[in-house]
Amino acid sequence: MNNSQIPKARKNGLVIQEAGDEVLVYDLERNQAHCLNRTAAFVWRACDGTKSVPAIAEMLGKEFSGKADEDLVWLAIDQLSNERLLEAEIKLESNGLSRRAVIRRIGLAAAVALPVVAMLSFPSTSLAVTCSASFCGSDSPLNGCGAGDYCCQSSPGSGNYVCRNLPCSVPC
Amino acid sequence: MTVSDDAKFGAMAWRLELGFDLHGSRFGIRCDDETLRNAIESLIPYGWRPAAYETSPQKLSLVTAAGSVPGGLYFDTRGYEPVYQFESLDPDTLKGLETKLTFALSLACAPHLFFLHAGAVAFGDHGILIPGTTFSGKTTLVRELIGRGALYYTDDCVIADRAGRMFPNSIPLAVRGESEREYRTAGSLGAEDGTGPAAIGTVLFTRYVEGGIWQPAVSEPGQSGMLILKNLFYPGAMREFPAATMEFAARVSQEADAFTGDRGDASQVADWIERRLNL
Repeated sequence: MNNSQIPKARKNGLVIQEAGDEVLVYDLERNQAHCLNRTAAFVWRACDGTKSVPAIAEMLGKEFSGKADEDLVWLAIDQLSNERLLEAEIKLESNGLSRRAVIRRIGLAAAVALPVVAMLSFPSTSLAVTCSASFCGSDSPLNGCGAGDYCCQSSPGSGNYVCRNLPCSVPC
Repeated sequence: MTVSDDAKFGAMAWRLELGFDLHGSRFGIRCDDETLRNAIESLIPYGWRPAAYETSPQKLSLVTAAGSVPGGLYFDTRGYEPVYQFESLDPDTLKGLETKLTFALSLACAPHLFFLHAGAVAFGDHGILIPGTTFSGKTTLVRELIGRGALYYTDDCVIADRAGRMFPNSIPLAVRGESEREYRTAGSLGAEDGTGPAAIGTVLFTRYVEGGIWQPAVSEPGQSGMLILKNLFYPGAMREFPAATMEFAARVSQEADAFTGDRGDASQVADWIERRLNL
C-alpha cells in the first residue's frame, strides 16, 4: 500500500450526528444522508490520514474483541470512498477479488459485523417545478416535488418533467 | 415577504389575515376571501392557537381569484411558484388544499416541528409511531389499535417537536368503505382523540404484505434514524436544517424502541403491542 492509499476521513461539508453506535452523516454538497453502522463508523473515525489499513484492522479487532481481517477494513474504506466520505478516492485492494467475493470471504470468518454505509438522497428542492425522469408518473415523497405531487412529462416526447398536483395526463 | 412577492401580490386586496401558533411555531395565512375563515381554520392541524398575523415569521397567501395571480396557495417567502394551484375551491379542492397546507406548514414550522408521513396512536403517554408511505397500511393498523383502546393521533401525518414528542393531528381516518374511501372521525369509530403531546416510545417500520407474518426485528438507532428521515413530509428540511433534522431523527430513534418487519393482518401487530406494553 502506498501513501496515497492512507485513508483520511472527510470532515468539510458534512454534518455528523451520533446515533447509538452508528453515525448519521449528511453531505451538504450532495444532499445525501448516510448511515454508517458500528463497523463502518469505527473505520471512518480511525481514518485520520496517518494510519495504515493493517493498523486500523488491528484497532478494529481490539475494539470488537476479535480478529478483524484487513479485508473488512478495505470493504469499509471502499464504501466510504464510493460515498465520498474520504478526502481522496481510495481503490479497493483485495488481490483482484471483486467486492462480492471479498464480502463472501469475510462473511465466513468475521467476528465483526460487516461494514455498511447506507445512503439516502434528498431532492434539491421540494417545491421544484421540474423533476427527474426517473420519477415520472410517481408521487413518491422523494420525487423532488411537493408532498403528494406527481412528476409528469410536460408534453409527449418533450424530455421535460414537471411537478403536477394531479396524476399525469401525459404517459411516461 | 420578498420584494418579488410584493411585486406579485402588491395589487391584491387581502380580506382576511389570520395568525396561528402551532405548538410554539408561528405562521400567518392571508386570503382574498373573508368568508373562508372557518374553512381555513378547519384545515389547520389540531392544537393551534390564535396569534398575531403581523409578526408571524412565515406567511402563506391563499388566492381565490385575483386577476393576473392564479388561484392557489403561495409561500410568500419562497418565490413565485404556487405550493398548490386551483381554479375553484370545491370540496375536492379543499381536501387537496388540506394536504398542501400541511406541506406548507411543514416548511413554515421547520426546524421547530417535524411533520412525518406516519400514523400514530398512544396508550396513555406511550406514543406509537408508524412511519410509512401511502398504501403501506398505516390507517388499517391505526384503526386496529384505536379499536383496542389507543388514543388516536393521526393516520397520515405526525407532527412532532425536537424533543421527540408527537402531537395530535386528528384528521379523520381515511377508511375504505364498501365502494370508496370514507373519512371517519375516531369518535365515530368508538375511539378517543389524543389531547396532548405523547413521547414516542415505540416506532414500527412495517407494511402490509398479503399473508405476511409479523416477526419484528429490532432496528438499530442509525437505521431507524434514516427511515425517519426518509418519511419526512418536507424532505427539504434536511437541506435547510440538517443538524436539527438529524438530531431529531437520532433522538427519536435512540429514545424509542424501533422495530421493522412486514405484517399480515393488523391484529398480529396489535396483539404484539398489547403483550409488549402489558396492556
